Amino acid sequence: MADHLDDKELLLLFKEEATKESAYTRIIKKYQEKLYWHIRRMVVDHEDANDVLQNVFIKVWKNLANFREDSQLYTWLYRIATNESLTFLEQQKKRSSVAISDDDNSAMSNKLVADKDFDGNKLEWKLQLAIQRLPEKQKAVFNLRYFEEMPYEQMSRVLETSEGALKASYHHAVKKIEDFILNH
Amino acid sequence: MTRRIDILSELKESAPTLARVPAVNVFSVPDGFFVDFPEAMLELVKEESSGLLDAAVKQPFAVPDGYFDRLAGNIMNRIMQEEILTVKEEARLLSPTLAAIVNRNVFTVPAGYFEQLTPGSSKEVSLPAKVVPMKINRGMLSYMVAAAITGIIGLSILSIFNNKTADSVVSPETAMLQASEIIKNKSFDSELDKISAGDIEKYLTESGQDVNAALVASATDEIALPDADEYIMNDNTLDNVLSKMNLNN
Repeated sequence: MADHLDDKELLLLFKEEATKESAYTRIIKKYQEKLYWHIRRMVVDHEDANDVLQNVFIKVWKNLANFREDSQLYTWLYRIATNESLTFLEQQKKRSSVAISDDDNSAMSNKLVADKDFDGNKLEWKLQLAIQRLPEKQKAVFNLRYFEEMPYEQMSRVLETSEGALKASYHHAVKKIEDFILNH
Repeated sequence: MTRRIDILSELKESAPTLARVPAVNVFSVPDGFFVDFPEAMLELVKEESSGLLDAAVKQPFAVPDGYFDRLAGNIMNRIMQEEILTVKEEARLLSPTLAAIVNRNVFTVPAGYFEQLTPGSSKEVSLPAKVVPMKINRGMLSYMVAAAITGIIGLSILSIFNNKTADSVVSPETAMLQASEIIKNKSFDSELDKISAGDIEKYLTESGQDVNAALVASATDEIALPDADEYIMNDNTLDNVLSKMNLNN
């Protein structure tokens, strides 16, 4: 069901006790897929992505009433999803007995290869392997720009980083990925 | 998927190979995942709001009745016991020789010392009084001199009436006359100037007055005296007061 209500109307409904649950469900339906894919590209595994997505929407339930409308709901949701994904990856690294450096994220590559649909000969899977070798934050920058096609100005609000730094980060990420694809 | 022109041109410039890679989604999700997710999520947050999740992680174990009421007392008792043991044990561990020495006091005090310290005891410890050197200056004597004029008049009259000194040369009439002249002319200051500090001091001494006490008494009129407690609490209080009076050198 495509929601005909815009974000402001959904927020007003959420603040009323009688319509809070209905508004919450509508917000999930509106944003779940976008957020899921953003998270999935970060954490690779579906079950991990599901856990992170649930954490995101639990935070939304708890904090949406205090959401300040000087920023967009869409931006706020992406910020929570990105932060939750980065936190998840950080915790996973700490739990791992093997020290994993940012440039050699073999655990993430292994997860990718374990995917039932993985095909190492296809260029799009090579691209995913290259992405998993990026540092976590740079991975988020690349995904938001390359797959979500998010403008730098909006990325700046999501990642709370200057546009200049984001452009530089994306440029480095692109170069690293190009090198990987050419050499593998 | 059609790429936005600016993103595509950005890629073509810096990474032509990557620009040719289709930006397709390689991942898949279980069937119906997005259909079921919103309702499942709502159930989850409702459970969390109702405290059901908290209840699930609540402590399943029980403790004896009153355990926590007695816990603090029990711990304190144990600490006390351990502390007593620890002093002996510690000495034994650190130095067996030291631990073997009988802990006896080798020092003595003068006989009756502690009885003297007892509050209410008739035998108080007599400590030497603080000696404060004093000097006399003319400014400080002004109050004394005023008293001295009255004293001179009174002394003259008394000496004559009682005939106690052979040196008395001032008759009562003369004394009264002189006194009434001083009062009438309001010439206290000029009369005072005629009398030296030495004469006043000599007069007070001969008439049985304590010059130092009189001096302090006259000077304290101008000074706010501290509370009695301050003398007890602070050894410097007396020095400070006398310093303000300008009596202490």
